[in-house]
Formats: sequence, C-alpha cells, structure tokens
Amino acid sequence: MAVTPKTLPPLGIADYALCCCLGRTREAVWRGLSKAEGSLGAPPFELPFASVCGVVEGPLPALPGALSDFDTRLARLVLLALEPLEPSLARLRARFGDSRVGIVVGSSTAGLDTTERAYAQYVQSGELPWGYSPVRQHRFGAVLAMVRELVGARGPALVVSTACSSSGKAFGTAQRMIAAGLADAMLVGGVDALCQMTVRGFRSLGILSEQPCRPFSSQRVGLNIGEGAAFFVLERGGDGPHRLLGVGESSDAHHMTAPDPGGRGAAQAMGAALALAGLEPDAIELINAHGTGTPLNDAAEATAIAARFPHAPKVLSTKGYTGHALGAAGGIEAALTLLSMEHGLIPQSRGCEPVDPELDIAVVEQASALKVRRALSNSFAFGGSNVSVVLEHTA
Amino acid sequence: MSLDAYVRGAALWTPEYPSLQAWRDGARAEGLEKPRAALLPPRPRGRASWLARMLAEVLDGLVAGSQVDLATTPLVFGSVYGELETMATLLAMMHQDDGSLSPAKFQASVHNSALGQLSIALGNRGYSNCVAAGDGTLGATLAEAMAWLACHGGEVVVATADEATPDFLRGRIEEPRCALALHLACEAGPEDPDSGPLARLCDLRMVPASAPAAPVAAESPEFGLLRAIVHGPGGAVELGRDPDQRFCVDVERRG
Repeated sequence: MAVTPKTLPPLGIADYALCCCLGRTREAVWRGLSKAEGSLGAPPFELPFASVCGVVEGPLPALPGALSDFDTRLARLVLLALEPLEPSLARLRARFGDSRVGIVVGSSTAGLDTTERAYAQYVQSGELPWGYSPVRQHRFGAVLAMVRELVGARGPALVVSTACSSSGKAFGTAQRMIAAGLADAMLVGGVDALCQMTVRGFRSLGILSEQPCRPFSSQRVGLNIGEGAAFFVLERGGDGPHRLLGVGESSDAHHMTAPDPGGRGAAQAMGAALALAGLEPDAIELINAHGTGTPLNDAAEATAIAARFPHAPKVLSTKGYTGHALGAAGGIEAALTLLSMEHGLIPQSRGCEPVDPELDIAVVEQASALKVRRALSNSFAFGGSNVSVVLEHTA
Repeated sequence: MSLDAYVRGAALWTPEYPSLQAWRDGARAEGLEKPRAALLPPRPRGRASWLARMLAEVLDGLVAGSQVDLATTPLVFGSVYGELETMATLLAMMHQDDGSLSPAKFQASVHNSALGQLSIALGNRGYSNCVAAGDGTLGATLAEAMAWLACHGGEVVVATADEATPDFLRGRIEEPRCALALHLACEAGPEDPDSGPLARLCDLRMVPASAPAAPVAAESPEFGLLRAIVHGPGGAVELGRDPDQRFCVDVERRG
C-alpha cells in the first residue's frame, strides 16, 4: 500500500558553509555568484578530449595528524567546508549533548579520486601504494569517521549515496532522524571531488559539454562536472532566519540515466516536498532547478515545474557557475539558494540565453533584486532518484 | 518515541545458502552460482552486477515469503562498498586503449545502481534510499528505514548487500558476499502462524561506546539479526562492528 508522506516539523538551519569553484568560503562564493562571474575552467588532470570543470582552486587544507590516514581530496574539501561551522556545532553539542548530534553526508564518488591514483600505481607495479587504505580512503563510511572526529558529534551517522541526488536526500534523512527522536541536531551536507572516472563516464554517455554549460538555453548541449562541499547545521526548533521545511523524494521508474520525459517523477518529488512542508504550490517563489544543461534533463524538469507550479515562479540553474558537483550538488545548490534569499538578489541563470522557447518556465535571464521567503531546490539522479528541498528565509 | 517495527518477512542470499530456507535447514549449496535475480527482466539481468542480482534475489525471496507489494513499498538499501566489481572494470578500462569507458558500466557504477534497476523493474515510483556507514551499515540502514516508518507509517523493505572484493583490493578489505532483506511494517498484519509476523523489532537505539556489548555474529551482523528473528531467543542485537556507532535493537520473536 502506498503511503502519503505526513508533514514533519520544520528544522532550524543554525548555520551553513560551502566551497566550490566560485570560492572557498560562503562570502567568496556569494561574491562570485552576485557578480555572475564565470568560474568554470580546465580540468585538473589530462584528458584525451576537451572538457570544462568546476575546480576548487588552490591548495586544500591538510587533515590533522590523527586523521592523516583518511587523506583524500574529498576529505580535504570536507575540512575546508566544515571549518566555519565549528562554533555552531559546539553550541549545539553543548545544548543537546554529543550523542544527540548526528551526521548525514551525501556523496556519489566517496574516495574514488584517491583509488584512481592507487590503481594507476597498481597497473604499473602490480602493487597498491603502501599507505593506501580502501577502508579509510575509499569506502563511503570513511568520511563519517573523519567528520565525527573533526566535529565531536556522536549521534547517528550515515552516508546517503544516490548519485546526483545524494546531498539533497541527506536533508530528508536528517529531518526524519530528528522527527523520529534519534537526534536533536544534525550536521547535513554533501561532498564530491573531481575524478577522471566521472568526467570520462559522462563523456561516454554523450552528455558532457566541451564548453561552459547552458542550462535552459536553446543552445544547451550538455553538462560540466564540478566539485565541492556544503554543510548545514540543522536543529530541532531554532530561532534563526533560515528553516528547512520539507523534503520530497520519488523514483522515476523509467530509465537508469534518462529522465521520464513527462517529468512525472520530478513533479512527484516537488509535490511531496510541498505536502511535507504543508504548503500550496503558490508559496514557492523561486526554484533552483537541477538544470544540468543536458537537452533531456532540462526539458523534463521544465515540464514538471510547469505542471506543478502554474503561477510560474522564477527558475534558476546555478550549474552554469559551479558545474555539476554530483553528490554534492544538492547541498551546494541549497546553500546558493539560501545565499540568494539572504541577500535579496536572484542571480542570473548563467548561460541560459537564448532561453529555449519550448520550455514553459520563467528562467531568470537577468539578476534581479527580489525578496524570496520560500524556495525549492531540485536534484535528480541516475537510477531515477529525485529530491526536492523546500527552504524558508524570514528576514 | 520508540522506534519499533514488525518483521513480516525475511530473505537471505549467500553463496553457501542461496535462500533463507536453505540456511534454516543447514543445506549448504555446492559451487558458486549467480543469484537468479528473476525480478529483473532478461536484458538488464544479463548486464546486472553481482550486487544487483543479490538485491533482486532477496527481494524476490521476500515476495515469496510475505505479502509485500514491491511496486509501492518504500525501499531502503544499504551497502558498505556498493558496486566494487563495476568500479574495478571501469578502472581497468581507463588504462586500456584510449581510456574510454563503457556507458553501460558507468551508469551501473553508482551506489544506487542496483536500487535504480529494481525500482525500474518493479515500477516503484515512491521513496527509496541508498545508504552506507562503514562497519555500521546494517544499523544505519535499519535506522533510516525505521525512521521512515516512524514518520510516515505503513511498510518498508530494507535490504543490505555487499559483493566480493575485486582482485586488486584483495587483502585490503574483507566483506563477506551476503544479502539480507526484511519486510518491516508498523502493523503486525495477519496473526496466523503461517503468514503472521516473524518478530517485532523494538527500540532501535544507539548505545554509548562504553556500554557492554552483545557479541556480533562471526559471519556478519546480518546473521546475528537474522538468527534472533528466525531462531530466537531474541533479545538485544548489536547491528554492527563500528565502536563509534553502535546501533542496537531488541528482537521479540512471534509465534
């Protein structure tokens, strides 16, 4: 028997932080986003084809000595993103107790960047590097052990790995964990590091653009791969300006990589998010779309948005700035959405012009000052996994 | 709020015991045969990884043993490593010829690939999730599933599986090839001995690292849980070997 999801209590967003190719801090990211700066560039490794990637520039911080066994690019991105959240996490640990603060991390690749390098040595010498540990550097649980030590949280910890919807769905898991009484606060987010397999893999699928991507444009030809991390400190109650209202999840049951062209699964996820938040569609003023820039995704998503939101809210894709950060995308894009709401400025949907006239949605062609109270952020993934996250900002 | 659920059905696949009944009867299989994975249509089945076939097999086992509707019941899948075999194939491809990858292998490499294939085969458009938590994966997967039940009611199918270690990682990791599935529900369902619930899971919780630990089954935590559900006498079951994340649940046998 199918179950209709019930409304869950909203959660306060006590703090959030991110890093991506737009910048290494929340402030730097906002500077890049508000100036509509292009930040996609050359990939950090050699490839036998042209490609554009979203790379977090500069050296990443080294892990503390006790955690050096966990060292990967992914782990360093986590460390970079988490640093500003220490005071908020310390406050919630003091308030609720370490064992009542949990961790949910969304990731698609885990430590694959390090495993690629280890495998390259294995091919050459027949031996994996001496210090390589798949337990601490490859498997999904490794990031949990590291984050647990970094932030001192001792509550339930898990990785959600549903490809490109991973960190969007992490919000849903966190909201349920708190509603079910397993925790009072959760550190939630996502991370993925650039690696060759994902760039080559999307190339093999014929959906990798050699130029910066053009979400919702009639000239869109594909996506770019990015990297980064974003984390949010969620708490039961909370009196800050940001809240997580609802998270809707669904499955396309259609195809492993192509979206249902009618956008049914996407529309279902958006509808479930509204239902869980206890909202009507017209409460949503802005949608940060999945908007990868592939012809099929953008068409299906636009169909779903048009069907679900007849009042035509503003629609934006931030992947023209960041590329597609895969498992981290949902977290990064939720953070970009909050930044836009916080600053009262909706950035241009970079690369959208000329907007595809076949898409019946209100794409943000120019940056505009707009106070948005409630927004929705979409992520869709391989396997037909869909998630929509409803966020609120009250000034 | 106490996290509780009735276990309406259980299924198991290992190379030694290709069904729950075989395990209960102590009937060890000879040789190593791939799971039949009858839930997958022939073409995807032909391409499916061991992990996807193992998941399909235990979901099929649930259908045979309990009245679960896999087209509408939420699915929660946990795996420590996910699609290792496919990852190893893709890594090898990157070092052959021009390094181009098979699109079919790439799309099958994500952690939720098996879940995606099954949701497509079953026509399940609802909530599903795919999680991992290292040595605490069984506990975390059950926590995700039982938190869903606590929030939304109804039923949920929870499964865990891991496939064999690829050659290049042998000696660095050891994960037994094993798949388990449970059909959980808020309500007990039919009370007759043949189709009633197998057990009740009560008070899923985290216990402090310093608390006395119940022994974890030698083969894997999955077997400890299954033994308590199927053979009894029940009691508290540790759901993993991660000392930093100890999920525990009380099992009350029924019937």
